[in-house]
Amino acid sequence: MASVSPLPGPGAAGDSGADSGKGAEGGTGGGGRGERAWRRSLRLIAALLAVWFTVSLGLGVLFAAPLNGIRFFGFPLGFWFAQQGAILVFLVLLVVNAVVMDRLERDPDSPPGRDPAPGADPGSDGSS
Amino acid sequence: MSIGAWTFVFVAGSFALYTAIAVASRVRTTSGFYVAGRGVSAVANGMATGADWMSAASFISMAGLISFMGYDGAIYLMGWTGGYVLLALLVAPYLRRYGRYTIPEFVGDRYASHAARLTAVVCAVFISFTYVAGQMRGVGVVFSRFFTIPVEWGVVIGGVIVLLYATLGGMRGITYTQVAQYCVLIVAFLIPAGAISWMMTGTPIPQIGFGSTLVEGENAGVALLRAIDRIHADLGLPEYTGAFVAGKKTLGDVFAITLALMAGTAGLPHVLIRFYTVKSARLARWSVMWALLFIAVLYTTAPAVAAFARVNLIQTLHGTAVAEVPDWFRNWEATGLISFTDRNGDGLIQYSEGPGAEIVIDRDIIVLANPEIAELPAWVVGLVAAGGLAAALSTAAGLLLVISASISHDLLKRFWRPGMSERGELRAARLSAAGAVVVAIVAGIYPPDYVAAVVAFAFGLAAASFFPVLVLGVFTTWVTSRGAVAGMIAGTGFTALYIAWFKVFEWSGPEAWWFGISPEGIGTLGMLLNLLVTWAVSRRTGPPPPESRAIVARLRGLPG
Repeated sequence: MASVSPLPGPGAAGDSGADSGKGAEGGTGGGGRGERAWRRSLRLIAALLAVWFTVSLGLGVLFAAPLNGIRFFGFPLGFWFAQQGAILVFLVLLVVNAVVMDRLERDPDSPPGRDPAPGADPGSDGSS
Repeated sequence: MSIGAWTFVFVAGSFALYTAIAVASRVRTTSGFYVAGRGVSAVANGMATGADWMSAASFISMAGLISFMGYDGAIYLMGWTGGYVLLALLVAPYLRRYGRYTIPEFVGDRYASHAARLTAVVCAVFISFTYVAGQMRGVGVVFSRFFTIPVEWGVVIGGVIVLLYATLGGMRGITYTQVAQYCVLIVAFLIPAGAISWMMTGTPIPQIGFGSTLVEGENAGVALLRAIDRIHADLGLPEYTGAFVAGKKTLGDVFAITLALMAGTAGLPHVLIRFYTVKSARLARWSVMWALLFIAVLYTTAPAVAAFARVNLIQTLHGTAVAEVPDWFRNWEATGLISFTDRNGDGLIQYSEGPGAEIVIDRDIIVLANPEIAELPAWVVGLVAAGGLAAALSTAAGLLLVISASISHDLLKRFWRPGMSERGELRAARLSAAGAVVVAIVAGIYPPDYVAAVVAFAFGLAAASFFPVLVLGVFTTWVTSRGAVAGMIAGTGFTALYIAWFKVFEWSGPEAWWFGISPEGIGTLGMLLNLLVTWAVSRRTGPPPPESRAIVARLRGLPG
């Protein structure tokens, strides 16, 4: 996941730059836009994985002992992250992932014709 | 009605329901048999995944294990839920976008290699068989405890039920019975948990009761976890909430086990194939979210149950005169799950753990005897029996489907008879499912000696084989087929040897563990070794053929 690179060029950072795909990209527009959507999804994955690691193996394991000195409601904090908090954060991460990826795929800047990928059609996969 | 009668009503009723669903959802196509026609909704798939995932171990054993492990129980809680984050972000949507029916099929196609396909088949079948033996055993044990019949008969009865709906309905039958089984098991888990939380802390929500103060007993007014730590200190046991204190696992080991269980979860074939049953990559992503939600309901309740049981058990038993023990103690003593020897002859129970303890308690009792310890009505006990069976049967069914598809689709159709007709393949799939059930029944009746090591094996191997191969397959383009095969063989070979050495044959003790990592956590090292070998071999055998680049582009949703 270390290969996640920043988005190239201006306009790509904001979703408002939907028109950036026009003109210059011309013939290769499909590929370029697909690349951009893929890179954006890589950035999302990297961010979510960072949170995943921090709350579970970070706060719940690596820093559990010092955090246990802090009381959080009735819990020692490190213990709470390890047995409750991490799971709740995982759930939030997956909701964010599903919602943001949905938006990314619906965005006009996301790759066209991605869904006709094989298997997307439930009826035609018998022979694949 | 007696406990026995209620148990019979719930178990017979739930079995009748599963059979009815099986008959209603029988299939006539291979697509229906392998992937439920890809028509399952995200919520239903999430629920089915929850039941598929939560086995007899999650339902019956986990809360009890945590109750005796304290903080260390986090390895299961975080390991078995954190894997779903990896699944959603790195694996499930991409597998679904590629299509197809099985994991070995994906591995074989992506790396354009029959060797990779075969290695994947062997891993999938081995992982699933070790896991299914434990499930069938679990079914037998629940039957024998609640109906006082021999374990063997319980295994056979459970096997026949699975046989019926797995061969008739394939993935479709399994999916909808799993949905029903999730409902049964979650209700059976939550009712006693809520009742105990209510009794001990005054709130019916266990997750809140977990952090509340006790309302009764000698520790009334003290926060639950503080009370447990105090009780443990009095008895000379390691601090319950303490991390890495004396008598508990080390930081390195907790880290390695948690990571191995997470990666293993994201590489277990019977979980992965569930995401083939929805219509699109998008729905696969949502299914993982729903699955984690349904799993989290049990997984956030279990540690609370563990803590309640901790206080309950010690307060009820420690210092109690043998003549005055509660009824449930006698009932479960008869099953051999609790045993008491009055070593110092004072007629009182002294609670302690380890060798020389007067009282020996099987971990499973925490969930199984929970309703009786909390003095809940007889019907709750019957419900718990039905819940335990639902958990074991649903997981067994998912595993059997992996085995059957590996044999009929990946071996027979791919290598032996590529021209096999749809009907022929369906018949082969049904026959191999039936064959797998028979082998599973035999394995459940005569469990192999290494059953205790099964969890370590299944997760370690999944972490060291499938997880890296799948993730590299989506996120990199430089892996060659030789690199992938060498990586899988090195990762699984190392992991299997390590587990066999320390856990099956016990040739050395824990003092010889590498970096202090126990066999349960060795999958983490196996996974790293896999990555290292894959990288080294790929560098020497590259570059990969252009077809794999096209497949990767398709996986990522890019035009060819």
